[in-house]
Amino acid sequence: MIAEWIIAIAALLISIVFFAMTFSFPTLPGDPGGGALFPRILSIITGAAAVFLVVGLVRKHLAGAYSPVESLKKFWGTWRKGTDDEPSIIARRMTYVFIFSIVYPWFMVRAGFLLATGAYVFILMKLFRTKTVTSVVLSIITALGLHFFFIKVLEAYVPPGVWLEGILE
Amino acid sequence: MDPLVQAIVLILQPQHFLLVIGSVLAGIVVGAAPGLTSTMAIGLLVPLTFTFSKVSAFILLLGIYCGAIYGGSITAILMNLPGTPTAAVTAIEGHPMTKKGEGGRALGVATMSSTLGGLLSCIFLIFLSLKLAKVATWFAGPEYFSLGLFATAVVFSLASKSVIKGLMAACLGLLLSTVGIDLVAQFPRFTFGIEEIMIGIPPVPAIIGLFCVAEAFRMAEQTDAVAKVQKGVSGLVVAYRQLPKLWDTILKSGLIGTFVGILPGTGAVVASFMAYGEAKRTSKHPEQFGKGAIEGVCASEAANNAVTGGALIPLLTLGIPGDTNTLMIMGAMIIHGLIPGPTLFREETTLVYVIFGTMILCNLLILPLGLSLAKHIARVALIKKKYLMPVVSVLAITGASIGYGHVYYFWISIIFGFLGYLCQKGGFPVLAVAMTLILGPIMERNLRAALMLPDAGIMLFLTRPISLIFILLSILAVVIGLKREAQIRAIEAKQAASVPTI
Repeated sequence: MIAEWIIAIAALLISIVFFAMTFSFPTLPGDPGGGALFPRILSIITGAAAVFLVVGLVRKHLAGAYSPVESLKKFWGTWRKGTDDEPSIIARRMTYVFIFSIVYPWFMVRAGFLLATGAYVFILMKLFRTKTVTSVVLSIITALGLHFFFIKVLEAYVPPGVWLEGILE
Repeated sequence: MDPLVQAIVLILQPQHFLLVIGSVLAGIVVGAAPGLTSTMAIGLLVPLTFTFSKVSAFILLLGIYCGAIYGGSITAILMNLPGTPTAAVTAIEGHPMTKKGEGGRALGVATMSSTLGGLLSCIFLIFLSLKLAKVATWFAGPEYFSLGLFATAVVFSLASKSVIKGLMAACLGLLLSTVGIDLVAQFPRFTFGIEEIMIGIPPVPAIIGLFCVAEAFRMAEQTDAVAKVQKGVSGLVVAYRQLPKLWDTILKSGLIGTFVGILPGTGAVVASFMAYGEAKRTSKHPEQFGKGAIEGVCASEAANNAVTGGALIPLLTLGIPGDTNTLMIMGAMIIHGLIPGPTLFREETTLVYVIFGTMILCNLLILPLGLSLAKHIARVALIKKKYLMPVVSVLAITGASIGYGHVYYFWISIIFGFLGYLCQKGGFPVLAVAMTLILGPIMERNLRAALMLPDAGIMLFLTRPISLIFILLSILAVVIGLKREAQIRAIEAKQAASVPTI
């Protein structure tokens, strides 16, 4: 699966980078190994395990059992197929869920918690093909409800939004 | 006032007593809803406990924990829709019973078995944890490091089908736990010059990302299962007449659940399967299993609720969570400034007794709440994912992090949500990553403290008896994991070879 490749390669890169960085850590006289010892040992083990996994995945690819490139092509083909096809709907939905989940905190800092949360919930509901009126009502209730809960019950700081602060000033 | 008496007085205060009832009921509802798990519910409620007292916080979380483990059986039996993964085994026998018109009997037995299994584990929780807390006072740096090593070894060997994937996931978690300021040398590690990363990876938002945000992402790719609510379900209460025939099954399954719960990285799913397998093996009528055997329902439910008490034992005494739910509860402990281990028993004795008392009360309450409300609670299975997923997603991203007051924590939840989603897709155990994020700082601190001792070296860990025992157990866990993987591969190869080819 493509997820195996991503995790294995990411783990390998992290272990290499972290291992290299440990050589710049200072050591104290009474602290054998210092701050470098633990991460260095872990980088070696993680890197070795990742190499083992990557080699196994490459073998599978060469044996024709699984190809990440073919898997990506298949995903792209499914994505482009059409809105009525169930796998295509799910492929698009997942892509947009990931994109908007990344955008959500970025948007929250700028537009504030209320607006960002309302928009995020509305978009997610529309991705599930919920009726527009229902989506609007539920997103407003969710945003207002959470805003009230966080401010009044938890007494937490909720981002007011940089754009709105400028407008309100 | 004696801490035990103080604890009883606290639990029986009206607000706390009502909180117990409310949280068990909420847990049952959450457990019954397919797509919501006890881990998710506890994770989403952790921020709610910011403003609660410690007593109220733990009453709430433990009530949810016990209720949710049982709740999954309701929809499993009535609709063949296990509300939680732990109820999957219950569905195997419970739903065929419903089809035969014996749904009430199955639910009644499931409810009673859950209560009795849970109560049995509470007995072990109280006696074993009090003893173990005294033993833990002998632990020093080498013992705590070796204990962390043992917990890591068990998690990566037994929590996934592949030991190498488990090892990689565990080491990745340990490595990520080193990000931030080194507390000894006061030097930033792996921060890449980014100011926010100086504080490191906060464990609570990261763990909620791994389990709750990732689960919300998984909900987005699922379709709603077609469910029909049973119109009439009767015979719940009179199911108690089955109990005399099921005593030995309940006892054995309760013991299996308790001891599986103590092992880190295993949890209620493993306990259910083991107890079910044992019940089938020792049954006088094994041919009935798979077609609606009441012993199967009884074994599964007694075992999975028995895990609740068992999993708390290593958490309270040693700071090692027994399963994903206790991992979340440990997150709540961190938020409330509690240090699990002998210190907890010494400085928060009343709270420890409150935890014991709450667990007993929660398991007792499952009986009346389950028997009277099960038929109505089953309707939660009808909530569609298109309404559930957006709300769960927002709560998971913001809930755990809002109390910290910085958007960095939201990013942590989202990034770890992606990681959790990919790990689950790729067959890497998410629990290994989550547990080692918490264990990493403990292990490193104790390793370095041990090595700072005069004339200390690697032999220090091998010459201290308790440390040596944990190291040997770690090796044993890895050997068992490798053997199990080889057996699974052999079975899969045999199955693949027996499939006819054209």
